[in-house]
Amino acid sequence: MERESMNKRLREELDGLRFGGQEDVLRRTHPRSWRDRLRALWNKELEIPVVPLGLSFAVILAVVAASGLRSPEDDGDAASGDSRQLIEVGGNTYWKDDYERAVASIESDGQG
Amino acid sequence: MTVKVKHLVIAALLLGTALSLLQFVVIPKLQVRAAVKDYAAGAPGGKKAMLAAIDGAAPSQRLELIREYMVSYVDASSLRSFDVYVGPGSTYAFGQGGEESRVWSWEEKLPYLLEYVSEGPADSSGYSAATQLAQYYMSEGLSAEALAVLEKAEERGGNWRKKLVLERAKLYARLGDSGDAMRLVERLEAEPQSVDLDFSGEVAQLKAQLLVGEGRADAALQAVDRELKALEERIAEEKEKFPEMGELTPAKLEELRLLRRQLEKALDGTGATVSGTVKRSDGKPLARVGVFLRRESDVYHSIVDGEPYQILTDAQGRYEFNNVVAGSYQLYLGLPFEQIDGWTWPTMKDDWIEVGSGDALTENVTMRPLIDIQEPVNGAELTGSTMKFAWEPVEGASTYTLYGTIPIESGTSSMAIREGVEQSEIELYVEDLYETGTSYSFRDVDGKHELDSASLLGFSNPELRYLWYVEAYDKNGRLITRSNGYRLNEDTIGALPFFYLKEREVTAADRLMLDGRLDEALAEYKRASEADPLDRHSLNMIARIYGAQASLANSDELRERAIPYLEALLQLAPDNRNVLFNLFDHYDRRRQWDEAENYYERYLAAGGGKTDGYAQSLYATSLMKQRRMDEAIVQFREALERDRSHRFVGRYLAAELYAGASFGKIAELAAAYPERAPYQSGPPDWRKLIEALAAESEADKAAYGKLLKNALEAGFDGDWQAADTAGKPALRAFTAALRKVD
Repeated sequence: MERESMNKRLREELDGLRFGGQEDVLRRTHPRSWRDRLRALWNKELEIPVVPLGLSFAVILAVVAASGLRSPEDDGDAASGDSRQLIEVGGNTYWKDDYERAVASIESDGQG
Repeated sequence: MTVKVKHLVIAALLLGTALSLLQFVVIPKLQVRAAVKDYAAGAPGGKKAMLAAIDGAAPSQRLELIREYMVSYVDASSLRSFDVYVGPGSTYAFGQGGEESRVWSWEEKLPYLLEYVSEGPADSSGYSAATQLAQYYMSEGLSAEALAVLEKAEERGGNWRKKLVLERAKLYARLGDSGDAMRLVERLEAEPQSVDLDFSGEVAQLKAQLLVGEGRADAALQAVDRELKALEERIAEEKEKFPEMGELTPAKLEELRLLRRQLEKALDGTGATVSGTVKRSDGKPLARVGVFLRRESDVYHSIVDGEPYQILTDAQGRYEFNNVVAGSYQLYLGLPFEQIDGWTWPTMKDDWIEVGSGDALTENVTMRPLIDIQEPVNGAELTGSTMKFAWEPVEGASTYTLYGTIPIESGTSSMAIREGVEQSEIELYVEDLYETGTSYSFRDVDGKHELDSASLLGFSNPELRYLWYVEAYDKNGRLITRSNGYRLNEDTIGALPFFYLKEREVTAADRLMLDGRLDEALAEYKRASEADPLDRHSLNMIARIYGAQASLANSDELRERAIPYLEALLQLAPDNRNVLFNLFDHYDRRRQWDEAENYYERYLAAGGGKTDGYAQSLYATSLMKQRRMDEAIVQFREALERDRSHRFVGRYLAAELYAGASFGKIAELAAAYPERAPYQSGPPDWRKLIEALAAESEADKAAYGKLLKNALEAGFDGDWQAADTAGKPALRAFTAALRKVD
């Protein structure tokens, strides 16, 4: 009974509404013109495997970043990345790193 | 996951944009930043990175980078961008404790500077780029290109156009085309005044130089006077307008005043030329070396833009200065590391170039290879009672001077160990080395100036690492080369000049010295000396402690206390020149002439008859005080030849005055031996002082002669009060200057 009356009320309430989109629906389900086809393609749903694709993106990004950001220090011929300092020792002027290496080598000789 | 094609496409587009943003904006920016960082730090490869960054940059940023890092980095002038500056008695590296060269070679920067001059802004950087190019072209002998690049920059206008015109005028002057130079100067003078207070002064300076070149020093003087007046007026105006600016003295004002003084001296003269070549001893010319002819008043500071004689050598190493105003000058060089590495320019502290008006002087510079040292090296530990120094012989060397270097708290201190060494090796008793007169250092303890007792140990500290170097001299006493200098690569670094003196062991008293407990150490040395009268070290240390304390407190009483110990030490080491000279000085101060004379003779004998300018001058002074004028004059003259700073010339002139030489002759002597003390605030102008005496004496020569003699007598006897009451201003000035001689 209750169902009956609910149905009736619904009918009454929807009485003023008419479906007029048949053409539109047909166009979407069976596209004819190139525009409709394009739109169909535009809205086509694809199934994408997330993990492999994400990984491959990550790899590409890493490669691009690495190649772009290679700093000049890695360019091979540089002996060390730090700046060279001069040092004056008893009237002689040396590069500090050269000097320290030389001192280290004579000191190790002295012990050996 | 399910997505629509449209979402996929939009995502791809977004990603693409992000990537290209990264590729074309972010990465170049980062690259530039990395390049700037590396370049600024002088890191190896920094220059290469910077070039890559410039080449990869967008056009607007490209010019910006060229400006920042090529045109105006370090300094605007290429004459100021050398790694090392060398002059008589001084060498300094750019930015003390400098870094690897950031200096661009001309091959590297030429295309960029050319681009900057034609496309960059017409501002100070454009000016700087154009002048650098002009200097470069001049050094390549391409004077037409040099003039053209300046003219091209001029045509672009801007605030710096007038300065460019001035540069071009200077270039004409340098090329000997004073007509064109003068035309440009006149064009500049006709233009409205510039806001830059220094500019018109600079124009006037060039004009004066050109006039001197034409032999019109009087006109030059007038031009300078006019400019000085105008400048002073303008300064007064500015002060009125901006009273809050306070004292304002443009650098140019000082420059002009200096030039004026120089011109006054050089009146009636014409400009001189100083030219020469800069070469290595193997004949290789050094191109694009900075050459600086520096006035006496400039040498005490580092090289600045305002100094008038600065140039780069050409491809054959040649340089030439025209229109040089008469005066005393010193030559300085600016060199990149590559050109000095392993080489030295054997210039000496008192090398002066006396430029007279109209002179054409040649001053060639020859760089020599550094001496290779042989032993002791690389931290050798010496334990014997003798030690040997050896080095590679130098061709043409007649004697060598051996120096030792002692590390002290704030650096190192060097002293001559032996002068006049005739072979390229020498064997010494280490005990003599211990007794070598070393200097001592001070340290600040709670704001008090205190003796650094450890430094008094000199060479007798077995824990210390000592260093040494050697200098080679020819038979005329000219320096040929030395072992110390720039050693910047594997081939030049050579053996390290280090050694340890481990012949003796640290005593209890030495330990106290090392711990800074001077008074306890002194007591301990005295105890040790009493216990063992043959203990040379303790005697030496006691004398040294008293001597250092005496000179710190300027106390004669402390000086006296050292004497018995020095005399005892002399018993054990009769040839110790250092002790002998100390004793001479002591007895001379006490006016015990016989003893003084005796010690000076022994001092001479111990050195094989050799002496130095300082010791000889003090001996001459001693003779003068004894009124042995003829002998004093002979000694002074010899000493003046030896010590070219002429620091004792005042006393020599006093001796000549006392001996009765004419004022005219003495003024000539004063001019021939000018006192050089560039690091002090102006040594006395002895010639002027003597001329003033001559003028003052005119009124009553006989009476003045007596007055002068009395004043000198009083001065010789150390009674300066009496010498000072003479009442005549010129005489007073002379005696006051004489008193300060030391």
